[in-house]
Amino acid sequence: MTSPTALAEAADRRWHLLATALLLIACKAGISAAAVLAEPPITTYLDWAEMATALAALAVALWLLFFKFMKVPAHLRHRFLNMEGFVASTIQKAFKLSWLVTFVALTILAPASRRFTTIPGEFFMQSLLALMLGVFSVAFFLMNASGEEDEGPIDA
Amino acid sequence: MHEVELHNRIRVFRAEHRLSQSDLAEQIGVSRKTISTIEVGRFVPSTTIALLLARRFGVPVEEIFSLEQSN
Repeated sequence: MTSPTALAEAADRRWHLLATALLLIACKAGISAAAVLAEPPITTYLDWAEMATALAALAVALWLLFFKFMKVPAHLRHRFLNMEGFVASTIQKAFKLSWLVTFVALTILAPASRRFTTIPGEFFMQSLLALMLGVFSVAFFLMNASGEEDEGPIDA
Repeated sequence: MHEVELHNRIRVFRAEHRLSQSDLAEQIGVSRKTISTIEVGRFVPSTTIALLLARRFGVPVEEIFSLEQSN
């Protein structure tokens, strides 16, 4: 992977894998939040689903680390991590949107957690995590899905 | 209030140099998606990418990118 474009394409794929891993973690947190409120035997199914999403997230994270990052030559890693482009810019926009939504949700959930004292705090924490990571990854995929264009003519 | 939009002539220069988006991406070291989104105005490139494009086409940056008024 020494060609500049191969490095740029790999950097783009890295962001997609990161967003995929974070989406899986968001699903895991969402299932975890649901499990707090659920009753048996639903909790058993939710525990299995939570474990499955956690393992899937771990698999994607390991794939990202070992097969996408480690195979980049050491002298190109700094460039790989700081590669500019459309996908890198959408990841920043998705992070900003996620932060904004999380901040708004915090201002709503903080008083709600005091009002609904029968609901464990873990529910609010897991819900917030699911929201934060879910908004980030969904926003990222949506922004990228609409960014693909045809190559167009090259005749003068 | 007048707003300005960034217009570019990358498609024109690409046609003159008979380059595909992939060829151009390869030559300046970015992904093809970056080139395609710059061309359609979805992505405003960094100064570095703009200068790399200008260097590849052998023209000043102002010949590729320009600001145009829009109401």
